Amino acid sequence: MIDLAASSDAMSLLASNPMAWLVVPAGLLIGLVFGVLPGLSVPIAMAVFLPFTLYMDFLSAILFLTAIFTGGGFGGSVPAILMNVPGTTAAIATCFDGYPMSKQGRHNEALGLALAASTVGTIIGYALLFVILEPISRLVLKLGAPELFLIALAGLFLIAALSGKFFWRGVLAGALGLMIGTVGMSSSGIMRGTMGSMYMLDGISTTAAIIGLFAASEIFALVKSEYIVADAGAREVRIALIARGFLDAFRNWYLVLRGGLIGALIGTVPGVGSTVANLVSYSYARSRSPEGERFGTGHPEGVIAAESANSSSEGGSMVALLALGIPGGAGTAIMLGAFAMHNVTGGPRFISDNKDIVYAIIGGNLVQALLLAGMGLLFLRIAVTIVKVPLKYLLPVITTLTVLGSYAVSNSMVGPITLAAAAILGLIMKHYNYPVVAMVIGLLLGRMMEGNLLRTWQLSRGDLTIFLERPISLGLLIALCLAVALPLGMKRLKARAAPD
Amino acid sequence: MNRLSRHLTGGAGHLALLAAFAAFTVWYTADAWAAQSKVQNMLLIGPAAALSLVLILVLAVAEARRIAKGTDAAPPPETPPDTFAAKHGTPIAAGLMGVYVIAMPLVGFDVATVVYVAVSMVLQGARDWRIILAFSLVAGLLPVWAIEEMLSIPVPTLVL
Repeated sequence: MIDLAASSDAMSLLASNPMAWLVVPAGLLIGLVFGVLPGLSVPIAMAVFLPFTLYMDFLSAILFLTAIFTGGGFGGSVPAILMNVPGTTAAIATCFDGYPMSKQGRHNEALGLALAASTVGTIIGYALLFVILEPISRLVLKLGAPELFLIALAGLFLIAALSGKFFWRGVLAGALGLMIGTVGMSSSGIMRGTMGSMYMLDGISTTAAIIGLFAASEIFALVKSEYIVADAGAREVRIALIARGFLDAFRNWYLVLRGGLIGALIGTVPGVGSTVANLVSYSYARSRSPEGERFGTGHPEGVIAAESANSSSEGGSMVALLALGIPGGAGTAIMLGAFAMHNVTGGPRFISDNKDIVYAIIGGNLVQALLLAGMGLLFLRIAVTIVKVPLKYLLPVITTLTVLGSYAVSNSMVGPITLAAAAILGLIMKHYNYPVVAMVIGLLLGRMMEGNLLRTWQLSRGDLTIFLERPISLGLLIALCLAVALPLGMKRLKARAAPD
Repeated sequence: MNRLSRHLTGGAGHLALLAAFAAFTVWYTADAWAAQSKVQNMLLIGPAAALSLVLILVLAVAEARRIAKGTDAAPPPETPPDTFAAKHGTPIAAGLMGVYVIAMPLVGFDVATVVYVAVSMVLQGARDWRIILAFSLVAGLLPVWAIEEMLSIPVPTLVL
């Protein structure tokens, strides 16, 4: 599976390319800064700096962009932990336990855990890519529209299951999210829910809606407080505590490994990406942990599971990009732009003809992950001082940054309007125990699910028994039914066994 | 009064939210159907809407039963709020954000952002007008300038 000659050539390529090692730290820093600022997503950073890659050779250009990707992946966890505001959508599940840890004054530890999980997660993702690039690309090619639809459906049900006793409210939020996600022009050119506005042709701005649903509603609740961390004694910034959190992650090595594997595998599926990986890994860790009921109250395992998965999904998404020439998300789509700028076409042919470059990209990213650990520790020293800033200064700045960031993403008022509407909706939904995360997943997957369902319909000429005829989709369907039925059955058994 | 507000933020409010969800579902499904009534167009929207309406009905019936039993009211807060921000801060902050977004294209991003930062600081207890003025000018103008100059995104402004 591993071509040793190409590996050796890759090492020579990396060693003889000083430009690559100059642009990687710069890329990491750019990614960290953009990831930390809510509203300014990693794809924005990659898009802003894409023109600079014209002045670099192909390898340096890709390493520069992946460095932004890696830095941003971790950077997004910083506001998620400190303010319950995911810097990127891939850090949603990081909020669930990271922010409660911050409120308890354990922000240093939480950030250390997230940094270690991100570093190891990135390494797992790329190491896996190195080993199984070719076989996994063959498997991904076998996933057709029915399988991709079922994977997305399973993701939705998993998230609804996260809501515990409010399962049906989770399903309702997911179904509403699916509908909102399909607003705009459909793949067959039909306009739905646009109210005649051309600004709505592309549908709802998902980044703005997600930030609104998650972040802004939390910001409104914080208006009552003076500081993020109520206890003055707990507001200290200590590099030793961050380092201890960093080392603590390795005591839960199995969690990092499992999260890394889940993320890498989910990342390989085009259109699913790091956000779903982050949530699926978290919910799986919660269901498997003997302390599952403590998740959501500041459990370190929650942070590890979420962060290891979103980081490793980057390596997974590179499978689709390198092996198939298909971008799995916005970040890899911009990388495909860099491919085009250097007259390179991704796909099976690219791998067979340029194995040394592919291995050099993988090797460069493995080193990049180690650099992230060092740079991240220094960066966190500055970032954590946020907890010392009174909220009367911090909250207006965060709100304006998210609003202006949403304008920058959509390039129109659709972004800020969506953000404000979603923020108010998020606030009301949280009040009535509707899990906003289920709506977010519906929003993210709506278009992809509709497209794949439509292709399935066309493939089968309207006969949906196709789901039962294909072995992979049949397996997925059985797994989906079990995933829904088992928790319900177990709940009923427990209720029967419990003494009156 | 307190009891009434607890009902409004309890069962009655939940029923209103479910009514809003139902209204959106019916409107969007009708709009999609009017755009094209073929199966291909309604393949996902149709089942998602049907599932939503069934769940809305079930949840509404359950909530109506709680209201009839008198168990729907939101529980009183554990510690009674002592400041204006603690009592009314959350709804005012939500409304303020709505006003800010509406005002942005009307008065310019720069002016709207500066005023928003200043009012938010006052809401959260800042009283020294020199600090409010200085901070809101910096925190309001700097990001607008950065978006225009560093990201090269044109934004409507009054001063910058």
